[in-house]
Amino acid sequence: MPQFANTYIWLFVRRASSWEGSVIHLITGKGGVGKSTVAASLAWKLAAAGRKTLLVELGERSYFRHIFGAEISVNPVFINSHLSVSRWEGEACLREYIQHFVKVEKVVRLFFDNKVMKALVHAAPALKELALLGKITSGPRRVGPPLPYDELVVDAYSTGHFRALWRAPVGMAEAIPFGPMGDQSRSISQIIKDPAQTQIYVTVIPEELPVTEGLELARDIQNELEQTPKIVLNRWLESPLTAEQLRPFAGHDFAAYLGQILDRQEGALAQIQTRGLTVLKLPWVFSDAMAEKVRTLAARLEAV
Amino acid sequence: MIDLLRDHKVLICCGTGGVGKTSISASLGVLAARNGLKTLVLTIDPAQRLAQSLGIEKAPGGDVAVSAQAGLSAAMVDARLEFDQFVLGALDKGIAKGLFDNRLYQQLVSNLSGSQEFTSLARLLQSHRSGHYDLIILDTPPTQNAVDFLRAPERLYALFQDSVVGWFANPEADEGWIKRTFHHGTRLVTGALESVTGSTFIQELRDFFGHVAHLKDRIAKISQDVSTLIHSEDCGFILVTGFDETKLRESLEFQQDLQNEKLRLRAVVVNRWFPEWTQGERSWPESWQGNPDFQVLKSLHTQFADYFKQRQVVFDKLHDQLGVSVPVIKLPDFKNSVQGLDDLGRMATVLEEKWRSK
Repeated sequence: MPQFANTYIWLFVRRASSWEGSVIHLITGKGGVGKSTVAASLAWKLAAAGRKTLLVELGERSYFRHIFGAEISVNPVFINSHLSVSRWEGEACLREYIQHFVKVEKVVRLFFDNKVMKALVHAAPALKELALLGKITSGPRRVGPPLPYDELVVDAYSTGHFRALWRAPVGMAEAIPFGPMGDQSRSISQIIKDPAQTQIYVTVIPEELPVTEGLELARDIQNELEQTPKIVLNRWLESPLTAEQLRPFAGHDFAAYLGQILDRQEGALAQIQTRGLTVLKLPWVFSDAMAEKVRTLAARLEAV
Repeated sequence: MIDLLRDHKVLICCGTGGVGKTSISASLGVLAARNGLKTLVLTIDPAQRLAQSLGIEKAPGGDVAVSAQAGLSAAMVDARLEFDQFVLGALDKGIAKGLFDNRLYQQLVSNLSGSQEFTSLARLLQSHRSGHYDLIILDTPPTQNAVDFLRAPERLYALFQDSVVGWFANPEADEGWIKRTFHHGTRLVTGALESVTGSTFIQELRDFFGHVAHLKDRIAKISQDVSTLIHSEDCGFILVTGFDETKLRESLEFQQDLQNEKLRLRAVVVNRWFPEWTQGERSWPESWQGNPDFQVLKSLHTQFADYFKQRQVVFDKLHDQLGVSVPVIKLPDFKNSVQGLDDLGRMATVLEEKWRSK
């Protein structure tokens, strides 16, 4: 297999460039807490601050098309001078990765048209997760096609799937001590464990389940990735009335409803703070108009 | 509602994350049990307090009779445990041990996307066959796509087709796995795979396939039986969704997925509809008029009411697109998270009321 001897060498050839690689932001949280909106808002804010930013969603279905009113696929869609949006799928990333190293288009095609490979890629999914994180971290690792952005903001699945995402390279690095698969996994792990290169945001809303699940995830991240995520406390009601001021109106069902919201959010905040984690509060925006919501939240992130 | 419960042997609650599938599944279980059906609720990853109230927090895997509700049992499906048991049941001890020792198995089984799905469907099948229950309610893991979940056994099976296993697993011939593949194209592909992943990985992969090859027939059978079961008259789907634009849109896509697969959607539950205070008018006492805070309260009230009105408009628009004639049940936003057995009971009562007045 002489043509593949080269391939092996390619894995260790770094791109010759002075590019430092982008800062990676991974946004997660329990389903339904608004992590996609938070990701979009963070990207919007970074772009507004003059950073070249790529906002990325993962998987087959696009959420960002509802926000930006454009079909989102692997080729970045230009939103404004500094912001582009892209959607990455595991299989496509794997293909790109293999293409990058195997060079010969015919082999790549054979590879992906092959029944066995298809089955393997579909069902042995650590591969897909590895390919995705491989692409996400490709800038700082300087492998694969260049990603010329200052900031990479990734809407990175809800809690359960997010764990599977990072555990793929971390676990694979341990399981496979030698060879390119192990080496790639180790270099990916290194990037996502380094807080200077990767920042992780766990999104929660002030309700018991999302906070509990978010804090459990934060603990796992601290233990396994040895870095501390930021907690984004989304949908915080900035009430002009305090619980104290609501007291005279007790008995009215709306006042009771408000009171409960205030109680719940104070409780959530305290729960997060006892864990010594940094909290970014984002206000409850009284609108479902998504583009408007993103702009409002981005402005608030600006202030942080 | 009780007819719906009585007419099915299996109800599958599906929907995207964060819509309250687990609470709805458990409440439906309470409702079924109240009506004399021996019911099992199979859940994936319940919140701790919900697990406590069902009594399953210390018994991952097993069916547990819920003490406060006669006729109701619950079980938490633990993918790792379930898969290990599946392996032990399907293979002889030596091969099973070899598989457990494989480093890829350890990696893949807990994180194998699809292993959670596969094991809960396998478990569903097993419980269905046991004949212990009149009704089994399955709470599904959150997925982007309703059908992905149901295809997990099929996909897992694809991995075990002769060609795949033949490629990697050949305990007899240790030398030259690339050489063994005679077809030129295939040889190129295996070469590419090895050069990209390395020989250590391939070695582990071969070892893995060498062991799991023995699971093939068992997985094929499960894959087939699951498909037969979920497509049968006995099995209905309940789509759980939330009350905001994103979730409603996602559930439209889900509904389309189910339709494409010819699966029977029986009801849509819109969870956390309006909070209860928005229903009906409530006047403000005269005596509050002089209080300056009251004006603030009133304007907040307007702000919230407008917000929920906006959502109603979106809902109406999307509801028209639903295009199927299944009942849509709207559950109010219970102010606290539904986790105790009392909460589940209350939710069950409301479910039945709303069903009747649908």
